[in-house]
Amino acid sequence: MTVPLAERSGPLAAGDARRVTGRPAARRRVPSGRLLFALPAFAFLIVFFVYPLGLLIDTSVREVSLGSAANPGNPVVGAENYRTVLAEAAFREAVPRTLIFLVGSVALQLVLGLCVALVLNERFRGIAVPRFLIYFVWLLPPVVSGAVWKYALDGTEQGAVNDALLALGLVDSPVLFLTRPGVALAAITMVTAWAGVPFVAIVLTAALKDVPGELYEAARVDGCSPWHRFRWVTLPSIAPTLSILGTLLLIYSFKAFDYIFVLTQGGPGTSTSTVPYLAYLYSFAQFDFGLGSAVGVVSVLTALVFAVPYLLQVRKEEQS
Amino acid sequence: MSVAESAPPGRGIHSEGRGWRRLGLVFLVLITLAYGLPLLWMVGTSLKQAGDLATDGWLPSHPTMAAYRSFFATDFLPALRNSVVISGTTTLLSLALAVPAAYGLSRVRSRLIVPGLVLLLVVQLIPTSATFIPLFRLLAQLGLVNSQFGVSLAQATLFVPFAVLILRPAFNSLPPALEEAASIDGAGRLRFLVRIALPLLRNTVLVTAAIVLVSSWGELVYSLTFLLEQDKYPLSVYIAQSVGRFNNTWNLLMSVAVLASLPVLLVVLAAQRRLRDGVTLGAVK
Repeated sequence: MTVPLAERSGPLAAGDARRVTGRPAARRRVPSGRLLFALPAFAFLIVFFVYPLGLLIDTSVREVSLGSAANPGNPVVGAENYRTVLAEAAFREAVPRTLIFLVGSVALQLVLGLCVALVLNERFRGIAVPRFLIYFVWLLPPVVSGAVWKYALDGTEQGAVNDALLALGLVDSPVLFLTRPGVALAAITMVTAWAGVPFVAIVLTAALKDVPGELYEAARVDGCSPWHRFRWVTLPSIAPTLSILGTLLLIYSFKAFDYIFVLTQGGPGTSTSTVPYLAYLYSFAQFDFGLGSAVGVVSVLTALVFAVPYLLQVRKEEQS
Repeated sequence: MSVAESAPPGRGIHSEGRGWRRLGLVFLVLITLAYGLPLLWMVGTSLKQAGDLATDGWLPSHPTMAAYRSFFATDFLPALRNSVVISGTTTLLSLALAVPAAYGLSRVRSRLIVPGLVLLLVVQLIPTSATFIPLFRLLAQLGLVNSQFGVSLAQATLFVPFAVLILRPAFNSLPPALEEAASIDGAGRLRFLVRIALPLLRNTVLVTAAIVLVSSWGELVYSLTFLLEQDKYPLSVYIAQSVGRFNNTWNLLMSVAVLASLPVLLVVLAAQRRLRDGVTLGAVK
């Protein structure tokens, strides 16, 4: 990355000078001693993030048994853990499953989040209620929403969803939402999307407010239908935000842990485990920290690949 | 659809066309149901009698506070105390590191800025299920496994980057003349930060602190894996572990869930609009 995330600090900031000369402008009365203020935070992150990443790689090439997890002297087994993981059916099945989960959850969140944002931006009587609910659910602890859905999706008549489905005559017997393999994955995807839509909606509401009103006026004067205004004014205006959000949601969904843990613990079997969740299962259900770390390294690399477009987009945004 | 005369001026894309507006209204009702009913279900269940769980519909037939009372009598206060200690420590620690860092990274030209910002972004993107294994090893080396301070340290790695990225644009927005004037008056950088910048940015800092506080309040992964004894668990772990145990006492679990969401309720009631600015800056800008 050769071009810095451009800083714009004022009407005539040093960034403008750089654009002309191609080099950083002279430090205007802001000597770099100021950077020292960032030192504690970065020292902290190096000890508690960068160093642990090194430990993760180190653990992934060792054989670590229960009880020796904290010792540095475990035997090095090279790529053995990786070979084992790649041969494991649980891992091989988790890869396509993770992709399905990612595509489903990101698509649902983007589409529904955009719809929610469009509606919340309108003037309706009583709109304060759904708006409040959206903010509330956005900040609700995932364990709380997870617990609520765990009971709501309960596979007996007691569960709210089954109760409703039975009352409406849509099903004859309760659906086992969380204990049947295919259904459980769909349920996890739905709950993840339910909990993720508010964040998308809030970000997009802000983006929609930034669309210049004159554009709509012009479109109106030209006689565009509402659909055409959406297609040719709204959508292009919020496209940059949508594309950053898309990558961000991909990364967030890949990190999903809490809903899986609360709703199914990755089961039945491992049928609702994503690749990162397997790292947890290997480590804290099988107590094989070596295998868990190997899956962890794979997860980190995947997350970094997902992050590349995000980092590029952020850089582009900062430059424009 | 060419009916334009009834539309309020210059607002949104659906402001004309009855059909679209009606569609919007239907969708609004659906949103309210989709987000309101699960919460109603949570509160309703928490007020049910244990014996009525199987027979009651969505609302309790004999509303009672029994679930709350029994939970208060047993596990609530220790779990609440743990949650307060952990999320309070995490918030103070995160802000203490992030505020100076955001100031230090604002309006500085240096080769170090780009790698610094990239590191902050990357820290937030790595799955926590990959970091808790080595963090466990590190905390063990430091003697901080099964310690709530260890959990706070681990959580701070999530929130320091988030807070820096929200706060840095705020520091950028302060007029440079302000700091120049302060330095002429002989105020050092630290005094400028504490006496002048922080009071001006009070609202942004408070919103950031509020988001960190509720996120830490609900954090599960690190609390679950680094704490080994029941009496150290915060509410979030208590809930997660109770889900399996409480199979026939959902009213108890839902009362815990209601209590755990109260801080969120307070924060949203207090600062709904500012929250949007906070999340927008931090996430996408």
